[in-house]
Formats: sequence, C-alpha cells, structure tokens
Amino acid sequence: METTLLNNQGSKNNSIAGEKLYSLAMVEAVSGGNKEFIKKMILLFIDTIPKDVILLKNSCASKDWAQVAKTAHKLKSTIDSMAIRSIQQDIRTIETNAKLQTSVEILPDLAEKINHTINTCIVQLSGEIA
Amino acid sequence: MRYRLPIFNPTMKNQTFKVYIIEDDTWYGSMLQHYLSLNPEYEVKRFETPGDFFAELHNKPDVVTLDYSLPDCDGAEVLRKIKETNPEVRVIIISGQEDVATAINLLKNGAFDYIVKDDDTKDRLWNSILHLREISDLKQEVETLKIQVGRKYDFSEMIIGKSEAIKKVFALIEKAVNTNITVSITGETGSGKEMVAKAIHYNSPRQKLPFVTVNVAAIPKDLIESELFGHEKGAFTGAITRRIGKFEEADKGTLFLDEIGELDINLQSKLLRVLQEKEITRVGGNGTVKIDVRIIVATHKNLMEEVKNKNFREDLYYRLIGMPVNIPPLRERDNDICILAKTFTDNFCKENKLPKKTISPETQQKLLQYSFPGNVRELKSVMELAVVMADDEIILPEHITFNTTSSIADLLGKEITLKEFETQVIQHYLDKYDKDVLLVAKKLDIGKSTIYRMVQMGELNIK
Repeated sequence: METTLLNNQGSKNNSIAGEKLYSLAMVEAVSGGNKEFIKKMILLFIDTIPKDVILLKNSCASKDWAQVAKTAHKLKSTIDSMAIRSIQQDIRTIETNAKLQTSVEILPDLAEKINHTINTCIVQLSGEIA
Repeated sequence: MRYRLPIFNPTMKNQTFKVYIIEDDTWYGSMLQHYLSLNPEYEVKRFETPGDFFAELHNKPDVVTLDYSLPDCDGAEVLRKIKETNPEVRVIIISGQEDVATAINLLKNGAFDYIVKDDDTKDRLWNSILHLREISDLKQEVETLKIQVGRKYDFSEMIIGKSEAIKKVFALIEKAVNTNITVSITGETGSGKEMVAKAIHYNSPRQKLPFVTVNVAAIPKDLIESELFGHEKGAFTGAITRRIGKFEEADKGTLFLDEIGELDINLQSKLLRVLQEKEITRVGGNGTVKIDVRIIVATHKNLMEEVKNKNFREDLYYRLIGMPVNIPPLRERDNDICILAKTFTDNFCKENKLPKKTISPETQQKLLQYSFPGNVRELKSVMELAVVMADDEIILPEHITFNTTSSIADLLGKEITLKEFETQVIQHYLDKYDKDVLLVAKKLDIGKSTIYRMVQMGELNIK
C-alpha cells in the first residue's frame, strides 16, 4: 500500500485548539466506569508513545526499514484503539512499505506527520487530565 | 461507535481462571489486562517479552493471549514452544496482521483462536475466552462422567452376586478385559448380557473410547447393512448424505452386536470378511475404511444349533465364538436372588425418596421358589412393584406379583424334584385363589389337612 506526499500534507493543518484528534470511547468502554483507569491510560500514552514515535523517525532517518516496520506495527494498535483517524492509514503505509521496502522515500515525511499528530494528541490529552 | 460492557455468564464455575497476556505494547497490553480483569473469576497477568512469560509457564495458565508480532520472536515460534512445554494450554493469537494464510497455519499448529486487532478485538477476545471456558468445563465434565461410567461398570459392583455360578462369570470377565479377544455372551433373556459386555469394555484399555451397541434383531433386514457399515450419498433412495455405520462409530472402541443369531444369512458373509480384513466398505462405496474394533456378540440362541440348521455360517460361528461367557439364569444363582432383590429395593427407595424397606423371610422364600423366566430384569420390576404396593416398611409375600402364566409354563421346564414341583403347584393355586385353602384343596383334589400340614412345615405360605 502506498500513499503520496500530497495526501500526507493535507492533515498537517490540524489545530491544537480544534476538534479532538482522538476518541477515548474504547478506553472508556474498557474501563468499566473506572476513571482512574482512564487517567492511567492517558498518562501511559503520554509516557510511552512519543518514545516509539521518535524511534520511528530515527529509524526512517537511518533507513533501518526492519525497525521502522516493527515500530509502525507496534504503534498501529494504539493508534487504532485511540481512534486517531488522521494517521490510521499512514501508520499502515509505513509498516507495509518498510516491510516490502517499496516507496521508502515517502516514509520520513509520513513519520513526521505521525510525530506532529501524536504531539497534538498529547497536548489535547494533557488538557483532559489537568 | 458504541462499546458494550461485558456480561458475566452466571453458569461459570466459581474458580480462578488464569489468563496470561503476552503483548509488547505496554499501552495496548494494559488495556486488555484491565478489560479481562473485569471478570472477577479471571486472574490476569501481562508479560512484555516471551522470556518473562516462559519463566511463569510452570504456573499453568488456562489461556494465553499472544501478540503475533513480538520483537525478536514471532508468535508462531512462541506458540510452538508453549505447545511443546504444555500442550494443554490454550493459546489465542491477537495480531495486527490480516494475513489469512498465517492465521490458518497458526490454527493448524494448535492455536485456539485468531483475532485481528481492530475496534472489536476486546469483545471478540472476551467471547473467545468465554467459549474456551465452556469447552474446558464440558471437557472436565466428560472426564468426570467417564470416570463415573467406569465405576458404574465396575463388575464387582454392578453385576451383583456371590453364587459360584456368577463367580465363574467374574473370572471370565477378568480374563477378557486385558486382551482384544472376541467375546460371545450367551444367556437367557434378562440375564444381563449387555451389562457383561459393558463391564468388559469399561474395564479394558478401550474404556475411554466408544462402546456402541447394535441390537441386530431390532433393525429391519433392509437397513441392517447400512446401519452396520454406513452408506455413501445416493447409495439408495433416501440416502441423501453420506453416513458412517456402527463399525466406524465404534472405531478404536468396542462394538456390541446383540442378538447376533438374528443376522441375515446374506450379511453374515460380509460380516465375516470385515472381521477377517479389519476393514469395511460403505454401502454404495468403492473404497475401504480401516477399522480397529473389539467385537462382543450376544445371543439367547444356541448358535451351534443354528449352524446345524444352516441358519448361521459355520465359519462365522468359529470367528465369533472367541471366549464364550455363559451367564447363568437367575434360578441357578442360589441366594443371588435375595441379594439382588435387596439391591433393587434399596435403589428404588433411594431414587424415589421413599423410606427404606426390608424384605420379610417369607417373601424371600417366595422369591426363591419362583423360576424367574425373565431373570434379573424380571426380578427388578417385581421388586419395584412390591415397593410401591407395600404400605409399611416390610415387603410381604402378598406384595410380590409374578406373571403366573409364564411361571407355570416355565416350571415344567425346570429340573426339580416331584415334591418341589408339588409344593410350587399348590402355592401357585393358593396365590391364584387368594389363599383359599378349601377351594384349592377341592381344585387339586387333595385333603385340606395336607395343605395345612405343609403350611406348618413352612413349605407353603397362606398369609
């Protein structure tokens, strides 16, 4: 699966102040009404996901495609569970292209888009628990 | 999108069910762990690496959810190692891959389920574990029932008796259980032929495998071949699907052919071939199917007589005769009648929540004097009726009712002394005419004092 750089640029304009880029519906459903659990999952997201995104970016920069595929695969389930729709397809493109080593030249920009979106999510999520 | 909270199944047994999660994604793994922990019956642990998990495998988890894509090790390899270490552990694969071939391979290699990571993962995982628990509970139930069935057919408990005649049967059963020798059981109707066949099967190494009974006399001649050997689709009118027969059903176990003497002469040659070749051909089929079946046959007929009368093939007779076990008729089992009568009485009272009832000495005497043409089966129904008829806690002779027509006919066939014969005829008339001594004396043209003298001697019962 491939995507073009033009498509990637389209969602870079997401505003921090605008609509939430994620949904906590699944986390809330899983929580069984436990608000502490929801807070714990938000903190865990803020604590762990950026590290993986940085690893994704660095691996793209060093052209370590095996590591890129692994990291993208790992991030995919969290991005899906948080329903971060604007990058769900991009993370899949990164995983597939890195695994097959096709059109890898688009991957650094896609990784940057994911980094940007995740950072926005973190700012928005921090507001949820403030 | 709306999410549902899990619903607890109230039928689940109240015991801890160990669920281990192997997931390198801390965030996703934490979510699964919390979700599954909502079921208070689950003890959920999470491991981020296969190494951490294998260090805990000795604690015997009931189910493992395994992320297919782990760093430095794929799920297939972890699954193989789990199955090697403990094949009983059920593994549910959770994967971000939507590759059908991978899923099929994992299921072939022993995975219980394969769930793709998406919005519905948690619900499908929840249901998969519920399903797995139901299967585990059913499996446990089947194992328990198998043990119970084994105990039920412990022949020293179920074939009750202490007479020399029945001890000889016990000795033969003990010899039969350790080999696959064909056993041919003979005995009058109701003497317990099927019980002996089950005792042999459930005490043999095949005890956990099928025991299949075919009553040859009860199946129409046109259907018996298909019943025994199965049929292919379209083999005959009405054969709309392929159906396996009793031989295939009993594969690795025991096939009990009751009333084998009734088998149609044309089918006898096919049965002989099956026994010799250890393979069957379904009706309408061309190929053969290998079978491994222990055969036990039973008949109330004298098979040798049937061979002489050309009703039974001689070669099949010698193939089936194997170890002959002749079950003695109840009337030749001495005091077993009283032991069995007590057992049937106790069992019936227990099953029907009635107070325990005892059998009076006079009733025992009456039972011992009867010939029981229907053998153990007849004694059982006689005692159950007696329990119902007896208002008090003692079963008296008047509570015992025999089928008098058959008893007189059977009496003539018994080897007894003239004196015993005389006694039984008078008792029969006394029972028939409501213990009216004068009427019986007149009917039999004997003196009433003769009857009273026999009553005084304890030979007759007029109560």
